[in-house]
Amino acid sequence: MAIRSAPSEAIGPRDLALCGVLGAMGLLLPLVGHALRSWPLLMPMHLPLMTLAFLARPIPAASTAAVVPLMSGLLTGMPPFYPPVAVFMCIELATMALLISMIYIHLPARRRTPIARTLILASVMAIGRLVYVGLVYGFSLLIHLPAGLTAGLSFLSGWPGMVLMIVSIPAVVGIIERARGNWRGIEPDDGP
Amino acid sequence: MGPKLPHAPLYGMVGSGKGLARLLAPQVRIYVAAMAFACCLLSPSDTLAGMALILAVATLWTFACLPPVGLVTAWAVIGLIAFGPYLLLTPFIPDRADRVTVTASIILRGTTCTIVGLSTISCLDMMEWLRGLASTCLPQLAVRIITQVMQQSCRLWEQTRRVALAIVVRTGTAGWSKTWSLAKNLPVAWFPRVVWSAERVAAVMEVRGLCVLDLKTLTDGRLGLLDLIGIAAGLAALGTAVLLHVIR
Repeated sequence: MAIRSAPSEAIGPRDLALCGVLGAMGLLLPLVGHALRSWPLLMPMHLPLMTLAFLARPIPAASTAAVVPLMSGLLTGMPPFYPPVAVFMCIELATMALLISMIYIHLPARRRTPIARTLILASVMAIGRLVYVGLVYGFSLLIHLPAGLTAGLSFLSGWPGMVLMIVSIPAVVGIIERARGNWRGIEPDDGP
Repeated sequence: MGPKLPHAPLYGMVGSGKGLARLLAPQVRIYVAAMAFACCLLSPSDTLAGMALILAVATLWTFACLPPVGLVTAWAVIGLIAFGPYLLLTPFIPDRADRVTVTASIILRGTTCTIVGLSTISCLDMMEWLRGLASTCLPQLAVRIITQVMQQSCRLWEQTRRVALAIVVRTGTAGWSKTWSLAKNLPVAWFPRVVWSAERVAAVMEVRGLCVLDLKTLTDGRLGLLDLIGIAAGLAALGTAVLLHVIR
């Protein structure tokens, strides 16, 4: 079989590797959470995907954020396709990843402080939550479920996860960005 | 009580099916699965014919793929547990005689979609996923990301289990404090390590030129008689679902 080059290199190796590894984390963390008697309130799928948004370019980050909930729904049944929570999460996560990555990529290096990251994340998360709750409300109306109740439950259930993201993601991104320069030639130990 | 983490290799389900569907071309399996999925979502579940169609399509596709019986049973139970709580919303549905039908329809569609998804995963191995997806109309970027995520998931699964177990054992916690200790430690202890491994993967991919490989070279557009029969069956089921939806 002849090997030809792709017409245009849509994604670089570093972005593809980051998307693969952090996307895989987005797929696996919810499973580990369920196995350890459940932390769905902490939104474990959002953690790696929002971290990815700070590290990769907008299109790969948004594509990964869109693909992972759908893959998880297909692979594990969670989030479900009916009611289409997987589709809602796909739209919510892709919107959030696209916005975070677009804002962060245009931020000068000296302004990439933990406070800036926290502000970007918090404001984008608010937009993401509004998108998600709006979709839940609209769909509930469509299938004759009590729209106010389901939308309200969706809105309230996300808060512990949002707090965890605001606390952890800016710090983790900072650690990764600082460490990245030192990694070449220095291997961290391989496991616990 | 010690921490309970699943030891069975989750991704053993990928390509574990032994049914007739494996005779179809990979892209045809993906298309037929998508049609079965759409059929379960579109068919009206408040009529007997619609309900029968949903059940028939899910059952036929499951037999065509033939995933391990244990997995199907587990997924059916998980589906019922996950979607069962929707029945609690029944009293809050305003002014409708068919309140139970609304929530029962969610349980039926949700569980059958889960089973169809599992069957599809089981009837394609990792290479067939890459070849099948590359032959569909999906953009190459999406195909690369999906296959990369699937491959990395297999590698990370064991590592994730090991790290979570270590944190739980070292902190000696249980219940909510176990969850809190994981939530507190996992991101900071593990994220940088995972991202560092991504840097290594990127270096390897750059050296091997994996990102410049045109995925279209992996595809084979030829379809046999069985493939055409499979597509025709999928279209017939989807057409019936649309028809039932329209004439309801």
